Amino acid sequence: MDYGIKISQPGIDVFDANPEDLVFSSKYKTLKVSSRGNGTLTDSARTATIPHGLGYVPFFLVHTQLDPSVATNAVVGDNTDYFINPFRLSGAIGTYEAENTHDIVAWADSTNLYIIARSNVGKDIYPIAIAPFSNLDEQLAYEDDFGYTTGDWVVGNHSATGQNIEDGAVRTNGGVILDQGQTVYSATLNLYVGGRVGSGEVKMRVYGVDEDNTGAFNSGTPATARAKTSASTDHNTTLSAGQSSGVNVKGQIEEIAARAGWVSGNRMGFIMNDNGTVADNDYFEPSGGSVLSTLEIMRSSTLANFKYTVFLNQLE
Amino acid sequence: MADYGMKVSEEGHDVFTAQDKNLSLKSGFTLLKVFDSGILTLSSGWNEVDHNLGYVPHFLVYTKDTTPSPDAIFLATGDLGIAIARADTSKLYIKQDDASQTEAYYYIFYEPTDTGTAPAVVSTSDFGIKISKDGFDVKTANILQQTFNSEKNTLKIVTDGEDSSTANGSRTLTIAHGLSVTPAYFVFYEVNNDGNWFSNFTESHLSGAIVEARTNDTNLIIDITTTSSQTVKVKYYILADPGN
Repeated sequence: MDYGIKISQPGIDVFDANPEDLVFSSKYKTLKVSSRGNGTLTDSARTATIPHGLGYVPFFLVHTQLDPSVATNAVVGDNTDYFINPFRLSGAIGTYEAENTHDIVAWADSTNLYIIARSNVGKDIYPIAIAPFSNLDEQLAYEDDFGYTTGDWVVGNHSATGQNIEDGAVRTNGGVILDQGQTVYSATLNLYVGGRVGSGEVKMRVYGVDEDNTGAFNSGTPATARAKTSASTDHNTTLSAGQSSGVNVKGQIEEIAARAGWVSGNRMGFIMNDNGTVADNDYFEPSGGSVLSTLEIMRSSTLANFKYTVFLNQLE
Repeated sequence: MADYGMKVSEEGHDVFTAQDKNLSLKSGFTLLKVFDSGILTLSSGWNEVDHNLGYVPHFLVYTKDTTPSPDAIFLATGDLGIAIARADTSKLYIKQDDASQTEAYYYIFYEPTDTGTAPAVVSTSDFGIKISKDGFDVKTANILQQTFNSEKNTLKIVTDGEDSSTANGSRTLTIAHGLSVTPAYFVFYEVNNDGNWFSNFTESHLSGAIVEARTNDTNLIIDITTTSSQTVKVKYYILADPGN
């Protein structure tokens, strides 16, 4: 090009300068900022949609912070720093190896910039029992008019067989990682309905087992007779077999973790009392089926803070 | 903009009618102006560069890896499987995850990632060009109130292009850059012509496609890995500015 503007860096003759020695040249395009901003992705708002108003797909840069519940460590550095998107957490991070996905992904179309968190960092999922089912007697229990049984859980009212009121109990398969006195954003007991009697509402009241470290159900005090937390949740549903019923147990697990004798890594248990279910309606998870119940704890609502820059440059 | 100021259009666009996206310079723009840049020899773990701007600035880091042959540079992001960099209000941090990552070329820009107060900038020369943004006196405007300052380098895109092959499946694009330096770069991509362009410079986590890019002293190389049913369109930018 024999016209235009060239400006070289200090000390470089503009007539001889290579492209990398120029501060500016009208021969080359520049990156021009259109807008900047920031926001937060949370567990309940995992996608940020930011209108850019350009009418075409723009060049953009997104910077994201690590989930604040992931402690600063040698792998990720300080959790208050910003990384250029994408953010993908891989490998073992601290004690959160079981739930180490933390992807923050950004993309744009001709209308919006989108930033999405696909994060399980801060979320712990604890199986109630896992295959092989050799330890089900330790994890599942119930009591009905016929007495106390381990290896299954049942809750509801099955009067047709004379069992009437049924109360169940479950225990985490492994230790729960929570500090003593720690509060959480949410905690959900997902009770998988392996089998079903009736189609009406099953009414239950769910307590925590008020123990420092809930022991196996096949020894000691029967599970349904153990001390209960003061926190409880009334939970009425009409699920069918094959579905999961999510019970809010935030208060229960915080009460257990607040016990003076609670130590991170101890086990937690839950008792499901029938709470007025009409006859011939219950849920159960027999030991012969797949035990898919879980305890899911989200330690923090905030998944990532982000900053974004949209440029005037057109991608498409 | 008022009826005064400065506009420079990109080649092929009439400066009187060009849209902003086709201007290289306009006295209202915010361009990324380089605060500091250089090569850092990497040691194991996190390596630090002080900036002390008091806000999180825009930054770019290109990490040289000797594992590919010839050596290649990778844009450092938060993808912990590749090259990694992060910044806070006082430092830039660059990680050597593997001994094959020998050095990094870094850029720290004055422009904050969202907001920040401009640092005091002392002019080092009594010549050159300064262009302030609308409403600011060019003689007193701070560095963030300036569109352009010839004392401060800006990023220059020497080549941008698109590979819109509709062929399904994986492929490698090799684009000769023709520069005397191993250049910095950006890559964006779209899967299955759905209108969504990902910022990933390394890998997709939603689409299932994997796009990995690097430059060496000759080429920009983009490896695209897809499932057999995916088409991937790639947009690339090669900068005049060095990545190593």
